[in-house]
Amino acid sequence: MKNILIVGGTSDISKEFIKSTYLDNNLYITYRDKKKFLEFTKDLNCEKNINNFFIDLSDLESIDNLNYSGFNNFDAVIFFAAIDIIKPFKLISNDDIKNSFNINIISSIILIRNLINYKLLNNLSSVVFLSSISGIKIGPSGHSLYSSTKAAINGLIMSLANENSKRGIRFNAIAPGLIQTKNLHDENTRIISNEDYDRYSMKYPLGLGKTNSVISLINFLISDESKWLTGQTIVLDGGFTIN
Amino acid sequence: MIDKDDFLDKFKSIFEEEDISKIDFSTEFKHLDEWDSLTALTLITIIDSNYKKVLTGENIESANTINDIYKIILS
Repeated sequence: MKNILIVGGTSDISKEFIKSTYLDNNLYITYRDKKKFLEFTKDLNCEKNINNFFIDLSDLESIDNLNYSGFNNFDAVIFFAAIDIIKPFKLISNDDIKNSFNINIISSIILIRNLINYKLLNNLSSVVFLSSISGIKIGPSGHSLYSSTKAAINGLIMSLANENSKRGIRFNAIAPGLIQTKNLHDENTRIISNEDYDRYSMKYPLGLGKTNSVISLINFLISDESKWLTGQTIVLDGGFTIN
Repeated sequence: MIDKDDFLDKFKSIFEEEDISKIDFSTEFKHLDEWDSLTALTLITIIDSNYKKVLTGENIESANTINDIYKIILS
């Protein structure tokens, strides 16, 4: 049984991961949207194995003020939380920049630093980031902030992997292509229009991604099976970027 | 109430290369050379931030003239 910290518990991918793992592990889950989180967990019947707490990752001070003494030592930390403010570059506001960077990268840096300083990462533990092919392999129009924060993760994990190698703590990132999540189809979140959806599907030799492909890779990265793998951003895109 | 002239100015502002003096409410904006996915996104962003109305891909698909977009925002 592992102690796993999950940052961002209400994304479609993190919810599927939680469902697949909460019976076998101790989970600590952060969320920003309490209502959404409770709606999700009420069916799981999971009080025993899930500790959860609110963090607004755009509020950096609150990350320093977390109750670190209430945590167990972690065997794995997984960062799911991210926002993608889709705008043409010339129209992004200073708040857009601040929010994107705070939520997507700076909050993670602060949290990891604190976990290390409070000695909350076990030897041989594994830290995994959900990155994206945006910023790693491609740079789609309208996603400049998202892409720059995802590129920042790439640099962060390489240095962290070096600095923490003596204790065998590993840092890796997964850079998925387009994953078929519920959000993708939701009119309110409008990540992608139906027309774009068909257009994108054609560009993926193995079709669009499924959530469970990402979850399989997360499970591999937090297991001993990947003990010689660190500092890497692994592209998981059904062949999109080699097409 | 939306100021019609102001709306047209905002619409024109999404273009950088077009001769905007030729653009009016009857312009079929999707036929302009500069119209592409990025100008579409610029339009969506400008409409959202100024009029709190989120244009969908379907909205834009169904519209031909600038006036069609204006009517969508009023609705």
